[in-house]
Amino acid sequence: MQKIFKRLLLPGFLRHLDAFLLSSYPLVWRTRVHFVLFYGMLGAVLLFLLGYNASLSATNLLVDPIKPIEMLKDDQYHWAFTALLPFLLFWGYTQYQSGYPFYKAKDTLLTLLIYTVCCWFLLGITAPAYRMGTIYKTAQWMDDKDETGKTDLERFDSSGIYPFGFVLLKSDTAVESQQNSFYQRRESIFKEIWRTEDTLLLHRYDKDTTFWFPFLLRVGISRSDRSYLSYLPDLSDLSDGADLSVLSYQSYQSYLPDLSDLSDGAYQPYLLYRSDLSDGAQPYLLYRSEAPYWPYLLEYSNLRTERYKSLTLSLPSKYGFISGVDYFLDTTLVFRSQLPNSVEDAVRSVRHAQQYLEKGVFLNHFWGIGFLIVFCSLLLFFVPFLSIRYFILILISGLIGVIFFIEFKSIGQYWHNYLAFLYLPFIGAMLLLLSALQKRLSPFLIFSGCSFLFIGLSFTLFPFYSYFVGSNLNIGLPYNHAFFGVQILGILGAFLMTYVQALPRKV
Amino acid sequence: MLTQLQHRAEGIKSVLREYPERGADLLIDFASNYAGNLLVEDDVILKKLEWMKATAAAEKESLVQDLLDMADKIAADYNPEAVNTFVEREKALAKAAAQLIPRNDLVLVADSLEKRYSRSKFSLGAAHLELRLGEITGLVGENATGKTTLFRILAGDLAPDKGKVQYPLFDPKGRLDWTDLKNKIAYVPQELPIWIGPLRQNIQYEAARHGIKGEENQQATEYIIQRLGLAPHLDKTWAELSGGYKLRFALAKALVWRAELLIVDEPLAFLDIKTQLIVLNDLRSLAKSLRHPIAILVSSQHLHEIEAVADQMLFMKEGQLEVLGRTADFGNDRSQNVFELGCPLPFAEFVKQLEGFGYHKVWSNGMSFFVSTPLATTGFDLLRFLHERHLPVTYHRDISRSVKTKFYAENI
Repeated sequence: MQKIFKRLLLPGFLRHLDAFLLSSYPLVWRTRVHFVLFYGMLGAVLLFLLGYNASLSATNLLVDPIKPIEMLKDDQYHWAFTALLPFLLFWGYTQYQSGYPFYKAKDTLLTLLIYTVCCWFLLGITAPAYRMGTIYKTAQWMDDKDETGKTDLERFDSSGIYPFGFVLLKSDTAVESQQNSFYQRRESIFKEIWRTEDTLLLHRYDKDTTFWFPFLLRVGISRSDRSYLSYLPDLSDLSDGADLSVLSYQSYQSYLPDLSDLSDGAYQPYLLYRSDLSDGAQPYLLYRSEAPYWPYLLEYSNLRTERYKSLTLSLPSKYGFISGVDYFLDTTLVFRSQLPNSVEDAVRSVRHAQQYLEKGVFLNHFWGIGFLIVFCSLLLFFVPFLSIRYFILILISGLIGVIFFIEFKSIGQYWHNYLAFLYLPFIGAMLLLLSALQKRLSPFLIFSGCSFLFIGLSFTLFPFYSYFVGSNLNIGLPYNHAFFGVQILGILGAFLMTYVQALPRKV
Repeated sequence: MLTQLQHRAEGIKSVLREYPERGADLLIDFASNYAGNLLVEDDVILKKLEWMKATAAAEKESLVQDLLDMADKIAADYNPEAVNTFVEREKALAKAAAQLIPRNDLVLVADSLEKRYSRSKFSLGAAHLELRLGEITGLVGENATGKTTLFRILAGDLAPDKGKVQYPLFDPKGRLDWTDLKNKIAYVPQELPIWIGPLRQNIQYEAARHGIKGEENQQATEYIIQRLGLAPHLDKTWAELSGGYKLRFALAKALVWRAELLIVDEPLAFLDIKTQLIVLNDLRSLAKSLRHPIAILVSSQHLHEIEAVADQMLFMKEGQLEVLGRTADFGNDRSQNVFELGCPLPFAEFVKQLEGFGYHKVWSNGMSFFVSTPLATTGFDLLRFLHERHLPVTYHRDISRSVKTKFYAENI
């Protein structure tokens, strides 16, 4: 059993590859790249399968109907990354143990490149694998075909029940004229809203949401480039400052057990929004206080029931839209008021997952994550040179300095950004440079220098971490010269370290 | 002869069946003497290594069968003429090799070295030192005289306050590219760093890092493991090794990549007598290798053993390095002879018994007695004198030409 387990974990080809690299490419072997990539790939497959087998139902959607999936800000990505973290730390520990024995500059370059490939693989492919599993699962969720070859998703689509639960089909116009007039006006308003929101959703994966350049470089974005998220500020009054879009807000409300519990204050902004989009037309909404429209509510109710029946009764049940509250009688379907929104959300969720895959948004994440990779590979590079004593010393003194510069805002944002992020790596690189100029290895200089660089690089990564996990600790993101400057100083420090570590010691 | 040889082969085969490893060693000797072809011996060695690496019983059995067949084949193919020709050829080659002038390039030159530790007020000084390929340089001296400091400076681990160290063979232009230099100097410190991971892997890695790659890497690793008797300890972790084996592994790591400058600090300290001899012999054969001669600097408190292999001797006292010159020439200019004796008598009694023997001085270090005599007095004279007085002598050594006299300079 143990043998089988060992063979599975360390298959023959990997053992042979390890032996080959050890005897022929010791520098590559030292980085354990072969193990990292193999187990990274194995982890990716396992995580994908876990994601693909995650529980999915109408009440537990795995893909948000509205909000774009941004891997680095995604909870499922964070969970997978957290699961991966012990392995990453172990890898770092192996690098710490194996040291860095008098390699030359070209070896340093190769080591950094190998670390880059490994980090890119782990953060770009392994960590999002779980998320990709849930997206694939959602995208295929309503793929079952009936005898006519129509998928369940298409049947939901053609039923017309889900966009806000009230969009009329052509067949619905054969009602009495007064009612018909009301329906027609109302339908046109909703269709307009739907189109607008649909347009927004079609753009949700435009550049600025998945690429890091705009916020990093602070470059202007033309309106045409703006995506769904860019419109959010315009709609922000709907969500009371929370990070919810209109549709998310609506979805959120629909999940609440009873709409009547909503205060007017929460519901009113939504109505106002509808008014804004209706070109002056009155918003014909089914609101409790609008007594004149109550008769139509009954009509709607009947229509809605008929619409669900047309879906065949089995379909809502199949996808878990029917709960204990909803039940069928022989001729009547009784359902919760939020059921149409549940259907809408589920269908939008599937459409969203399909859109994510069709547009190849994953590649945006894969390439977009590149801005973190140089930091990660440099951090790994400096690990073997860390001395715990100096590290703790510099951590304490360095953070005091950082706090000082963060508070020192009177010098203006530009210089503030410079000082807060650059000062630690700058000191680190200067200490190593001093050691190189002296042509002596001073333990104080190189261990302090290395710790300054390590902590400086970590500190520059920290605001991104806060930003992505939504921490309240807001210290601003490094941009322009600060962002690239830290990396350049880190690379300079890596090459200086290669040189100074081989120098004879001073004491 | 043939029958005798077949009997011998049968004997080896019976050992092979019972004790394959021992039998394989016997077969290697057998092949060496009667095969008349070096390749046959190599084949047997390789089979032995394969047997040692094999884990499956069936595989081991098959390899033993191969060795048994080889024993039969060597006996059957025995051709006295071919063996004689082979032996003659080997002798001719050895003679030709002896006539070759081995490389004797200058590897290291140190001038006017100074190093001070202000806290302990210790200062080290070395006026001039040269190390050459093909030579072993021994450094002796009492404890805390700066031997390790000097070694660290020469290995590039510690910077001197004054003076300079040059490596003409590695760095003819004197650029002192330490990254490059440190990959060419093998330094085995007294306090060995901890090894992480499998021991064989460490040796292989070190060899590969220094350019010994692929198949050659495997062979070099296997050779050094066998040569230093490390095979039975390969499955242990670093912490499980004894001090002696830690040193052996450290030496293996330094020797596997054929460094041209090897600096070893106190290698004999933790070694048993047998291993001391193996290590010293290896150091000597490595230093004198015709293809890859190396310069070796070694420190030890085992004076006689070091003197036996060293070409040049250094002595350190209170931080000052004294170059004693060629070992063969040491004591040429002495003014007296010095003998070390072991005798189970009280020192005063021993001195009393020496009355009438023309000596300069007698002293004791608590363990042995030392007698300095005029140059004309030999060790034989001293032993005869003691014998005539029926004095028991448990130990006797003529140290007149030994560095040991430097330790008793105040008495001489």
